[in-house]
Amino acid sequence: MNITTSEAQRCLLVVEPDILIRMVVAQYLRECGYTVIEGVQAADFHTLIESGRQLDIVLVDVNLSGDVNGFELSHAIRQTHSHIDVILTSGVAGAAEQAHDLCEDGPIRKPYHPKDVESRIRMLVERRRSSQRK
Amino acid sequence: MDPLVNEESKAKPRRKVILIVDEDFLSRWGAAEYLRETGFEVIEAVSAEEAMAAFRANSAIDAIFCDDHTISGAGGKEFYAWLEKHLNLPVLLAQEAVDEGDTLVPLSTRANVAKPYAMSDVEQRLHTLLAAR
Repeated sequence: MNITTSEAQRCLLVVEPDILIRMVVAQYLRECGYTVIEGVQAADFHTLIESGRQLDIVLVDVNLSGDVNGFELSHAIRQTHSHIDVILTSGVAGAAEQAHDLCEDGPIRKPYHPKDVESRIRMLVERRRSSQRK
Repeated sequence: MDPLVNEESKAKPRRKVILIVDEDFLSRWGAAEYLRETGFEVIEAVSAEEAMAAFRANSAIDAIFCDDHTISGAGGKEFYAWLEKHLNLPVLLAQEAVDEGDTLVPLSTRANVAKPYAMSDVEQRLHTLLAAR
């Protein structure tokens, strides 16, 4: 892992209802140098934002408990917090089509390796940097 | 063994792993962030069921910091029974009102901290529990 200072300062919210996935991916991303906050439902994102915490990326599963699923949360983030990148994950067939309008790269399909997530984060960070240069 | 690797392992002892069991996002996040900053490795569970799943997946857990409200919910009794039967880990229980005579949690290594708690107090109690193992 080749971590730069800017990566180390980035804050991620992982919204994943399955602890066995959440603990592995969160730990991996911490070892990559990211600050990782763990959530299990859409409401956790809103609680975090209301607390004033700065957030760069949200990794969210399509299937969440509660009233709001991962698609709806992604849509809400894109509408109201466009500076925050969203990565969708899914074990559901057909999720890629549903996610088309929310996440142009499509969801990361389960089972995935945490490296896949880290690669996607790097890509988003670079894309964000490029768009800011224009 | 490579002497350099050996020296490195001596210099960096394994971080103690704390399992936090708390359904409240803000409480869990705050506690986890504080404990990570003070040198612990932290696993976060939002329910008794998740806590048991974490145990099955990670046998390196050194202590538990759990919220009484979360544990008294679904799966709580099974969680306590499971702990008693399979493990003898230090447990720090955050309670609304601490009663030293309370026998709700029949764990020999149990300690309490009253809510609302200061994280410095939690940290100190965890260190005390771990040192007594």
